Amino acid sequence: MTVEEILKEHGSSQKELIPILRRIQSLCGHIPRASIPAVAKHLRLTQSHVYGVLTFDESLILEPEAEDRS
Amino acid sequence: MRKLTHPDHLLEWRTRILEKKRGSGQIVVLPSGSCARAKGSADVFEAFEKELEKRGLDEKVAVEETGCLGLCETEPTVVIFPRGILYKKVGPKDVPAIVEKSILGGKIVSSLTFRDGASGRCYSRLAEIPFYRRQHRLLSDNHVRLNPERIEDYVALDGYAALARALFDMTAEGVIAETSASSLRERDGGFPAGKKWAITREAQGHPKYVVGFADRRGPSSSPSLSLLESDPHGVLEGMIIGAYAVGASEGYISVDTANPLALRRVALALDAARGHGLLGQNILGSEFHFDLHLAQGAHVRGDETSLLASIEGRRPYPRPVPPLPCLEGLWGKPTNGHDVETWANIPWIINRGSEAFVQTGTRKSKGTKLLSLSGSIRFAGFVEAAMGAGLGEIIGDIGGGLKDRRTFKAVRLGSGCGTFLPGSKLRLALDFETLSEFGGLPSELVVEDEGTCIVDTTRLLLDSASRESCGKCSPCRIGTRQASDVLNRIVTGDGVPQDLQTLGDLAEIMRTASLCAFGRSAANPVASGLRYFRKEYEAHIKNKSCPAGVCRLSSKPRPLTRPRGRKKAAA
Repeated sequence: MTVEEILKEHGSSQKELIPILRRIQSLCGHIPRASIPAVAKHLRLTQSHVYGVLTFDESLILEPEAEDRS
Repeated sequence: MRKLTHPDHLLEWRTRILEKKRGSGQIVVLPSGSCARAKGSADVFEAFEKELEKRGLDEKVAVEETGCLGLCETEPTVVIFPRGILYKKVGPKDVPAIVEKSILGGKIVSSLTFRDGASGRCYSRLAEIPFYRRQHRLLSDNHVRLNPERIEDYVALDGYAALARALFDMTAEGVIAETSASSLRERDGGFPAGKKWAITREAQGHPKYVVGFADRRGPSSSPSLSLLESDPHGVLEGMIIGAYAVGASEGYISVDTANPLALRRVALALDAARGHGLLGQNILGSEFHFDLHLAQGAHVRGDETSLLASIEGRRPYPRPVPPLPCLEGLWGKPTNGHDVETWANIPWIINRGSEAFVQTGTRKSKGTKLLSLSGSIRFAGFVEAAMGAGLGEIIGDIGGGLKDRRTFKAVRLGSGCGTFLPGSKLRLALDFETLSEFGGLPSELVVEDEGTCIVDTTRLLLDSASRESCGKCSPCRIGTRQASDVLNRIVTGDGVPQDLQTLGDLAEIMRTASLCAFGRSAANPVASGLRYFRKEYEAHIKNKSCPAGVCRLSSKPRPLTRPRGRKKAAA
């Protein structure tokens, strides 16, 4: 499954933003920065809006988690 | 899964479930909230299944997982029905003995019975244990009788009967009247629920919404989460009835993503209710349509408007109130929001009537309150006390007093930015009016013993509040940071007498000028600490000593070890 396929399954209303971000995170383990423009376009929001919502939520992360080096 | 299209279908279904249940003899029950799971209840469950199968008893004796029993201290617990025998701290190795002696032999395994620390008495039956006997379990009584992941168990206990009654025997106005007559008040704010429903029903605008959320005030909201973990259908049913009463067509139930078990059980409950026609179009064959969605967005804890913004897909900043959400809420439409505990009271009231409900509680505060007990208390856990119970009674009688012979110093109402109360206030009663000047009705009681430094605990609370503050309004954003800086100075021995005045002023500003309840609550520990434990502050500042021996006071500033600023996953 890709980010595009996730977007297709969701409507384009603004309330889908957090559900979409959660699905992207469970797919990739984090929210790839490169996916922000696609999400913003799909929901007809600005990229800064998407960024603003996702950085508020501590459970949504923008960088992949560090590998366990132990 | 068959859709129920008539209220009689619900009755028939229940009769079928009950008939099936009658066949089974003894039932071994394993409460499995988050805390029991953490202590390994899953292994005990497996051990029971294996042992019963080995002895060929798996037909006669059923093993069930249920909701939380509340006695976190003794998990994993096992209860054997119908006798109601409770065994505490059961490990997989104890299972053969329980099956041999207790299930087959009808005797008690005395090494695993509950021992009351204060009196030293042993109790083998659930109902005899003071922790339960002294509670008033109105909402949580069912938790040990049902598997929260199975709708059948809820229906067998008269679940959704209140919904059928509301939809077919009562008008929406009648439901509102019944709720008003019960004097049910919002558990997190004290506003009369029936009155709020009436306002939402009268409000202009369509569609209308209902919202359920875990407690709005404290950073921690474990009683609400425990309710969602143990009896998700009870909350759902309350919300559906509420939606019918106010005329809402859609609803959202907000669950913290930090609690995966509650999230999973609520999601399962929603699917089951939808599959059986209890949500969606023509509920139970009536003309009423309503659907409920899961909302998993973060929001400023303690604020409803922030949650609404999060549901809409906006950055969850709080906004000034009024306009009240019940007039202009989600997408500007009337939105009736309650915490989940308030919703969970509704089915009870509709089933048994408001006259029965007003029997419990005080003149102005009816019903019960779910509380989590923690800190230096003997039986930490999740309890339900009748309104009007004394704080001292709850801590002493239900919680078993302080653990390990420690001495009482303070009780913190609300585990986040709560109010510290000294021993002289323990006779205060748990009700809205009495506690309104101490930060409102709490959902948590944290007992602090002589080893707690009030100044240092306040510092930790304000440190975390300053990281959690959303930054929308300056009293909270700057106030929490400034207060935390002053407190950090005091605990390292650099406090000056002027600091007490500064802290008092900051608390007053946060309390009066913050936009939402989060900022207002941040003032609680500071203000109450200064009021009741001023001597400790003075000892830190004047004598450079910490009476509890917690703070290391030296004149040299200690480097800050904790990262400052909002904790963020790399932005």
